[in-house]
Amino acid sequence: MIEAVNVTKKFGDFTAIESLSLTVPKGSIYGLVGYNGAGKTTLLKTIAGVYRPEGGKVLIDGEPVFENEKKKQRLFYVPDEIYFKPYATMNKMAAFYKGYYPNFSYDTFEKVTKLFGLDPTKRLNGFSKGMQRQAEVVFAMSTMPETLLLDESFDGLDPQKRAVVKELLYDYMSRKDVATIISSHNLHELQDLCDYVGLINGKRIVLSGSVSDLSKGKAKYRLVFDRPVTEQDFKDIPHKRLNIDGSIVTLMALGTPEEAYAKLKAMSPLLIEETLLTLEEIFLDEMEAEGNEAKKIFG
Amino acid sequence: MKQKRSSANPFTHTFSESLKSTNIVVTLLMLAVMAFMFFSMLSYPLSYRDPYMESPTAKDQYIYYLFAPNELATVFACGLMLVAGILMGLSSFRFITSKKTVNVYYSLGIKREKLFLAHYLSGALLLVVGAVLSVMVGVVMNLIYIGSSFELWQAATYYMMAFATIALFSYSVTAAVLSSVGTVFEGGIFSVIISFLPTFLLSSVQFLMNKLVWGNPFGVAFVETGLTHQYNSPSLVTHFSYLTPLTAFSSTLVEIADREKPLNADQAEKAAETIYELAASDYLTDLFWLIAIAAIFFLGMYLFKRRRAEISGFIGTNRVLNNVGIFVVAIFTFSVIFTSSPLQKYAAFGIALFAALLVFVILDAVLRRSFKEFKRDLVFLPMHLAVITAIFFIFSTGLFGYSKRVPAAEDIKSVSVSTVGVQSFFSEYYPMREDILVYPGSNEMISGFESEKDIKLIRDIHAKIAELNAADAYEMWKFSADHSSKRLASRIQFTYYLKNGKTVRRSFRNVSAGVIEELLKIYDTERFKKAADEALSPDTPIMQNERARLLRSEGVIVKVYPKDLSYIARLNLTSEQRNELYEALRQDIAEQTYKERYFPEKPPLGVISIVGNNYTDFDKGIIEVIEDENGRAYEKAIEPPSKADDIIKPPSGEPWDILDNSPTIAMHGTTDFNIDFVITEDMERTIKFLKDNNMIDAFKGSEKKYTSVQLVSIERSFTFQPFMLKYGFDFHYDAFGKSISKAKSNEEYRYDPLENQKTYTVTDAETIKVLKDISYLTYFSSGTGYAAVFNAEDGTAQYLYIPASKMPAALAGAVRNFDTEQLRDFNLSNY
Repeated sequence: MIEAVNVTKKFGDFTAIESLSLTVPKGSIYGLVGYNGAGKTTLLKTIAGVYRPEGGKVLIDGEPVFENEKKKQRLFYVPDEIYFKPYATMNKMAAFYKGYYPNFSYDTFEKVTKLFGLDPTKRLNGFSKGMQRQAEVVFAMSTMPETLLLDESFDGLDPQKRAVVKELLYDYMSRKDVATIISSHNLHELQDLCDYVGLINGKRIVLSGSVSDLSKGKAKYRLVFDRPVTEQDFKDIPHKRLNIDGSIVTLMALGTPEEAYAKLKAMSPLLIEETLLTLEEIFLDEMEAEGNEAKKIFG
Repeated sequence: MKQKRSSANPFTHTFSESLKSTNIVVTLLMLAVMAFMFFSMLSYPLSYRDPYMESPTAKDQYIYYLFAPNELATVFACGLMLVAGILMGLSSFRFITSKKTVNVYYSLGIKREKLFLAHYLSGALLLVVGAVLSVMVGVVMNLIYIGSSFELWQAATYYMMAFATIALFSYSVTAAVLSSVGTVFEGGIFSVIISFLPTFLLSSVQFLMNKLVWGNPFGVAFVETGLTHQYNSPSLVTHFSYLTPLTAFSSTLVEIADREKPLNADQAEKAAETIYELAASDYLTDLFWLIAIAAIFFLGMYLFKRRRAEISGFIGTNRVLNNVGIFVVAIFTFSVIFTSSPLQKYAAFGIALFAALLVFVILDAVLRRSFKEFKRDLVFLPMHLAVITAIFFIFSTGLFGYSKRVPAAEDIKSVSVSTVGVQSFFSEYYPMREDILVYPGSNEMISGFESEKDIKLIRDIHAKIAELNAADAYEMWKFSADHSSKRLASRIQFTYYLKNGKTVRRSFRNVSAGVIEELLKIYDTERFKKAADEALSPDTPIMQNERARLLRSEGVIVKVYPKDLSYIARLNLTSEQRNELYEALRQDIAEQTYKERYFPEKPPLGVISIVGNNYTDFDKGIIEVIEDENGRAYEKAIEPPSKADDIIKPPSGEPWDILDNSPTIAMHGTTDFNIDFVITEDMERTIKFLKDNNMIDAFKGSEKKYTSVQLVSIERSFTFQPFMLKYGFDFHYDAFGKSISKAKSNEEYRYDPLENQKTYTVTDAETIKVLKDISYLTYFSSGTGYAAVFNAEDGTAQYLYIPASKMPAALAGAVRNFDTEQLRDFNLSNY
């Protein structure tokens, strides 16, 4: 289990994350989303023991991770900026990682390499960006980690390879009790991959929970009336993003879906459609303030 | 399942990975060191095969002797080891300056201290192996050519230890520096600065001291060539050479490399003993540096553990190193600009301080690359400038009385002092002092002034010099009306050996003409008179006195330079006559005052130059030292020289004869090969001897007929070669005349400084005669007087000297006006 408790990380005068807490249980995948520069990579590096936090603590299975050899020998961090040794092949990098990971499996290495169709004898600096990402996943899987941190690891992968990586993760998770954090901008990918999602914004996790719980709370509605309606007609219904186009109305109702549905039904629309919000919509909803700022820029 | 064995030990795995990934450049550099060592030592085995080398066997010669690089190559090899250490440090620890690599290494299951240790040890191992292999090149040569010996391995161990220590020092510094900065660029720059920190700071201080601290002796090249002392005045960097391993070890290694190649087994054994003594004295130094290296290692490890990974890739993140680096560059720049500026002291200070400010601004801007950070750092700028200003003013005020300190007479055991014209009986080699219009330098000192009278004399002169204004030493081109206070390009040094065992040294640059003339009083000291007495006395054992040995060697030639330099004569003396001459000279010199010698009232008769027989030809035959019936030792040729052509023509049988009447005649002054005696009118005994033996006519010369005389003030003559002014060549000298042929055929052989110069020229016979009578073959000039060039009908020209006091007023005025016109457009700053 990964636990970040009130973690603060500063870069000089700049505070990247502040009093941030999260928990990732074993056997689950935690999706970390946030704007560029929100602190996703900082958080992952702090969890990986690369950064020493100025405040709070990061625990893995109850033990501090920073300078913890044993825990880190079972933790693999795939950074967003990939590094391979100069002129190294996958075989050489495998030998490199094997020295640090007692559980390193050459069997897994060979199988996954084959699965991706990579040549382990070729120099890695000759690989495309996508192939290098795949190679990193190969190394990550081969070390048989109990804690896996993937920073933008789907970035640069084609749809087929993304599917393969997802399958691999599912398969690996089904066999081992692993706590995984994946950061990504691609919310669609996280939606069907993660058990939990955390939204990092303003140096903190502002929204966190299971994907289904998050989606459950918010719904959007499409209504068709037999008469023209005005904004005034919806004043008793807590809502956001109201859009009226003659007799057709879309809105996001606040409160529980049941209450909202009952209130809307009472307005006697010809048609009422209810759709649960996607993660992306929830994400955008939370980021509304910043979105409005962008709107102001372009008038 | 296929499962290869895991190393299972992150430390050993990191160590081996680091070894494998060592930069190819570093490896090549180590190979270059080895190749360099090999080639720099190659000459030894070759010379070992020299058929002319007379010794029983090569094994006897070299058995204690390690083939090692020569002096220059040793310094170069030490420098290479230092560079190798820095490059190795950059290679081993560059991984922490990249975000990408830090992400990987810091997330691995290995503690940072182990990560540091493993990388450190891999680099250190390679450096030590490189040092060992480099020295083994020489050892293998020994083993092949000579064989093994305990001494060989002992010497080799010392070399290995020294090379390894130098490399490990810079390597450890680089490891520590890289652990605390964000980029390889800073790692390299700051490692160089820290490795050479004492050298940079001491050099800066040295520059400032040279200009500001009147009497500062550091870095002034003086050699004491007395009977007992040999000492080179070291620079501050050399004086504090123990502050860096490079300077500490290279000075010892150079001393070892500088040893003579042994010609026989005894010499080899002595050479070996020297090495072991030097090496033994350095074991403590090495121990100290190994402890220092260990301390730097632990500091590096601490910094590595505490390192914030986020600084990787960012420049200027370490404020301490930024400030140290900027300060070192700023003070160095300040010192160089201040020292080299021709401006007045405080104007130069202002400009140099502004340059230091610019250094701060530029370097801080480069390092910080952020206006916000730059503004924040500006708080350090006044501190930097304040420290530089404080150092400047401390030195300006004479370093707390350092400049004016003259040791109390009762504390002094003996004194050494540099010479201005009184070296005849001390100097081993006194080059090129003779030509008028050629200005020699002097860097030799006479030691052994011990009597109360001598010490008082030297102290008094020192005290006068100490009171001079230091700033005037840099404005010597401003010609002064008051001759005695005018500054002359000069270096004067005093070394006091105190009764408490301490040594006090003071060195002064560009002192006044007045004190330079006072320094000639050394001629009157007991120390000088004793040296002259010993050289000329028949009772002095020749094996203990080089001068006596030269004077009494078998078959010396006694040359005479007449006052008009029209020929060189030889006095044909029997050994009894020669002894009589020496005795007359001994008694005359004992009574002669410096004024009679250097400022004689009447022109000297001429010069007697005693040329040792060892030096009359290159092939001197076989010489042995024999003793006469009184137990006095002489050198005697027991076999004639092999080449008859080299033998000087035999004496004619007359009391004197012409040895050489070629048109170009120049005296060489006292050297290793001869001793010159200026015969002045006060030397009554010598003159009587010459008259009694019908030799006085040898001094008459041939009374040439002159067509013109060119007159040039000595002051102007210096501007013929103004670079000499600028770089502080001696402005004062014992002016010896010379004769040259102005014939076209002699053009390429003569040195005629007046060629192509417009000079005041006298052509009427009456004036020429007046000038002839007041012209001196030799006189001490301290920047006054005239060069008088007598152009003879026979196509020769004689350069003689006319003291200012002797020149008729009308002529003096005419020459001055003429020369002033010539100097009108002269500007030293153009040179």
